[in-house]
Amino acid sequence: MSSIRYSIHDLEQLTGIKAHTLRIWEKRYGIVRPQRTCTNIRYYTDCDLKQLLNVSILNKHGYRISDIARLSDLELADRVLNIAMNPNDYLTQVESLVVAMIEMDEQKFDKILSYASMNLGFEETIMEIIYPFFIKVGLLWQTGSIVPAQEHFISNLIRQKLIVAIDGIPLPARNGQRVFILYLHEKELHEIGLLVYYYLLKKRGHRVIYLGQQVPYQDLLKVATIHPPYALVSCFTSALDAGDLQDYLHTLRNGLPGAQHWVSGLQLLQGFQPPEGVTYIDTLHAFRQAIELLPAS
Amino acid sequence: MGDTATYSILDLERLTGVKAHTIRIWEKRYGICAPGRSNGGTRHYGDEDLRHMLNVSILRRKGYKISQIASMCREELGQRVLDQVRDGSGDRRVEEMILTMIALDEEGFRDILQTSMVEQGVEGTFTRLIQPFFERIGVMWLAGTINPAQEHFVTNIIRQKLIVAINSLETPMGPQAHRFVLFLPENEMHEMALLLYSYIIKRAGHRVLYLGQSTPLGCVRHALRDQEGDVLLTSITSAYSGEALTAYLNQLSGEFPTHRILVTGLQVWQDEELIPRQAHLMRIAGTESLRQFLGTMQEIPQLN
Repeated sequence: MSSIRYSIHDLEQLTGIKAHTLRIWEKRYGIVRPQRTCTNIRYYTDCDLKQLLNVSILNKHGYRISDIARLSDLELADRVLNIAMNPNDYLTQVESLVVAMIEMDEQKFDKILSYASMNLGFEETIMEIIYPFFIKVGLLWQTGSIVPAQEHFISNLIRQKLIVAIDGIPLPARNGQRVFILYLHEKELHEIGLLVYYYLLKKRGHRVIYLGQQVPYQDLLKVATIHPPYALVSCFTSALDAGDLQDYLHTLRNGLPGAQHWVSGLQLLQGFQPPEGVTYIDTLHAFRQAIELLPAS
Repeated sequence: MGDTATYSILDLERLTGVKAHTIRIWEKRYGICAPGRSNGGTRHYGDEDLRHMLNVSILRRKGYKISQIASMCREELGQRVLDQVRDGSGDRRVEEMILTMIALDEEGFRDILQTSMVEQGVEGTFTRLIQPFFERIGVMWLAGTINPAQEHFVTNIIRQKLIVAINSLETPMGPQAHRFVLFLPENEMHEMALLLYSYIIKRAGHRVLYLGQSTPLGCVRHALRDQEGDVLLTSITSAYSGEALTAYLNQLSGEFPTHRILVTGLQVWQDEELIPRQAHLMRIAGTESLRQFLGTMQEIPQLN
């Protein structure tokens, strides 16, 4: 049914099972028999991938591979569902989200997420499930193991859930609150991280001016003059190289010396040194800690 | 409040609907909005002046005399306007939206939006309030006078309300449910129409696979798989115009010859001649035209 083909390397990335192991399982137990290209290279379909994801979840939960091999597809899916319903098993819930993404199944996604937020609350669901899931999606995306359609689909759904949660928090009182301006660089589109910050800040009663994607520098300055912020917060995912980013942050910092500047983003991970006066926040937990430790306004 | 944008008298005329001629007379007779002058003596106005003039024009429309208005201080004027807007019609609400946008006043802006959604529903709010609002600020764009950050700010609030409305609808599973794949072409970022259509389609009992901004055609192909019953919907605001638009639509319909394809958006509305004439490609001129299409869907059996 599908035109998507995965290599054994993609499968390794997606399921966490080594290519070597996949070949052995195939030979010994007939677990997933891939097709071959005309040059005899293995390739896998969506169905194969789904089956292996399920196998991998059971395997990680102590099922022996010889037992798994005897299960029908239906039994397999059923056992996985049972495991996924354990609210404290974050890893399995993250993996179930990967399955929902690959199948582009909105209902499945909804089910996993609403179950998780019922048990953990929305904030912990973000911290323990959505955020790790998103990091995983980023890696899968970088290695080309998922197709853009799946990434578009899942990003829009996560965005939807975040926005609904943000909307559900009442606005803080007009006065006396710290103002945070949330923006992305002019060339930057990846909004999920910024929306997570929005949620965490608003939940703690801070005022957020959310400017979102692609904000030109001059406009950012202008907003900051209308509402002088306590901090400007941004995520950098892919728009700039390290040098341009340095220059940009340096200029921004000098343009608005009275405010704090917080930046984060995957791209910054490799030894990035932020300019003076700019705070680099490397994980979501670090961000939460930073806003929890704020002195009283 | 910072005063960095400057407006010419013509900008002010466009934004407030008060003729430049009248603005000059009011300035001379009543001292309303005495602007700064450039070296060459040309009037220029700031944000505060614009707000003031918008307030003046609202009260004028409510039947206040200009001499009466001139005797009020700016705060009093603002208060009167607020009182008027409380029970306001669509038109005054648009003005109030512009005021709250300029002040980056989230509460104010959300209040207007929410009241309208309760009173006239999501679609009514879009056609009677948000579209006229964007038309007005579109004029502000053309004049190069408004700060795009203010548009960013309100666009995000509107988007938020729309997504909340979409999320509140059940995912339809009935036998009549068709699947619509919604996407914008590569480099197209203007999502508002796509979200509104997503809402209308879902509400009509169909499923939506939402791919969103900047989606390459290969990505659409993966999302479709072999489901020939799927309907494609895309919206083009700025990514293509003129001949490039025609070329893109030809490519789209060539790629997906067996799917029904709906196209909409500013560029598509402007010139019907640019749309290739093909049986499976349909121009959607607005929400009404989408609803007509959805009406015809009832008779077409689902293919997948």
